[in-house]
Formats: sequence, structure tokens, C-alpha cells
Amino acid sequence: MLSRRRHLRGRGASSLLLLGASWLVLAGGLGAGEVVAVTAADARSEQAAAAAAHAAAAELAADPGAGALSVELQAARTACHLPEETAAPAACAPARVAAQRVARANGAGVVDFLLGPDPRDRGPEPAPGRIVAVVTVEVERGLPLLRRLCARHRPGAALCVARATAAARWG
Amino acid sequence: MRRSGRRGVVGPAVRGQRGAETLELVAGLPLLGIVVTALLQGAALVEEHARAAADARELVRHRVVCDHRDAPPAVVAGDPALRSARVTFTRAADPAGGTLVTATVVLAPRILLPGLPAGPESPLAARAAATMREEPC
Repeated sequence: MLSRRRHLRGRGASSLLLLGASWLVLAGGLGAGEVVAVTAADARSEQAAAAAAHAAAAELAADPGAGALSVELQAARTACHLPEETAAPAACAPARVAAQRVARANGAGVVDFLLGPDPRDRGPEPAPGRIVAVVTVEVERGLPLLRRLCARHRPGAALCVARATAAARWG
Repeated sequence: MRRSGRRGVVGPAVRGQRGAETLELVAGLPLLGIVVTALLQGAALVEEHARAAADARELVRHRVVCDHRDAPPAVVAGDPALRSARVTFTRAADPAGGTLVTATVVLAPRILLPGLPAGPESPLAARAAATMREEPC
């Protein structure tokens, strides 16, 4: 009788162990999936930020008014911080639109856009025609488990979106 | 003396059960092997996706810069896997001005689990795309 009980207890323990191990494997797999989604979104946001900043710089390169804009930026009369800045120079908007377009093409959205003077122009020999574009973008991580939670409760949380900033220089 | 004698004796029922447990363990080992291979397969696929994304990024960066436009893809990205990959570039005129260039890379998956589809047409193939604006030359 005692021996039979021991056998049954042993079977129960091994079943519990098996069940625990199965849950562990399942949780590990789901966790690995979340980690992959997080790192993939980080890489995508970095690419989108770099591409958006480059697009702004390319737009400035094609804009004949960019030289005058660089002088305005050096004099700190503007930072092209749109849409907050109401009296920004006309050359700011096309650069921002170009950044937004390219960010969207890479599955991201521009959350902050700034233009500024080149660091060389803060030295003893400032010159016109050099601008630095700084763009911050956001990409939704699309986490397999937390997607619904992110959409409803925490749309801008760091866990739900990947944010990246990049700069590009023109001139 | 009596105790040690009892310990040494193993009944046929207990022996039979031990045999069954050994059989279960032996039968479970291939299953364990399959699970481990599946995990490795998943890791390989994730690595391929990361590599495809990095390649697409690198390729499009070179393609939009005036001086590097005509470089062959495998040399540009420094990834030998690109030689067997499908690389496409598409150019689209932006209505607001400029041209958007998109590099798409499809890498054939590394197959560890037998029976899974291989080649760039496989649904497991790593696909990645990156878009940048062409610089005015």
C-alpha cells in the first residue's frame, strides 16, 4: 500500500515537472519573440531617423534659399522647430516635409524636427551655407503580446514605441 | 543486515516500471532534439532578418550618394550572402520634389529543420526594405 502511494506521488511530481518545463519553454519562446520585436523596431527607428535627417539635408542642398537660412540659424533667429515656431523662414517647411515623407516610407513618424548651425560655424571662422538637420522619429514596436495594451492604454510609452534621433549635415 | 538485504532485492513489477521509464526517456530524446533544432532554426531566421535589414540600409545609403551609385551590391555591403540574395532598387519621384530610392533585400533562409522550404521564394526568406532620398548631384 505504502509502495503504491510512493509510486503515485512520484508520478505526480514528474507530471508537475513536465508541466512546469512546458510552461517555461512557452514563456521563453514568447519572451524571445518580444525581444526580437523590440530590437527590430529599434533598428528600424534608427534607419528611419537617419534617412529622414538625410532627406532634410538633401532638400536643403536643392533649395536656393538654404544659404540665407544658414545665416538665420547662425544668428539664432530661428531653429525651424515646426509647427511650434510660427514665424519660421520659408525654407524650413520643405525640409521638414521631406523628412516626414522619408520617415513615413520607412514606417516611422517624425516627432521632432530641428535645424541648426554647423558646429564649425561656432568657431572663429563662421561661413554661410552649412546646416545641421536633427530629426527624431518614432516607430510602433508591434509587440505580439502587448499590441492591444499599447493601442488602448499606453500609446506613447517607451515600451510601445521605439524612438531614435539622427543628424545630417549639409554644406 | 535485514535492511540491506531488502534493498538489494528488486521485484519484477519495479523492474518493469524502470524499463518503461527508460523507454519513455529514450522516446523523449528525439523530441528534445527536435525542440532544440527548432529553437536554433528560429535564431537563424532572426539573424537572417537582421542581416537583410542591415544590408538594405547599407545598400540604399550607398545608392543615394552620388559617388557610390554604381558600386556592385555585394562589395558595397561587404556581405557574401548578398551574392545569392535577390536585391532590387526602385526609384520613385516625390511629388514634392526629389527622388526616393528603395532597396529591397531578400535573403534565402538557412534551413536547419529538414522539410522546410528553402530559397529566396520561401515564405521563411528574410525580406527587408529601406528608403532614402537621392542626393542632388
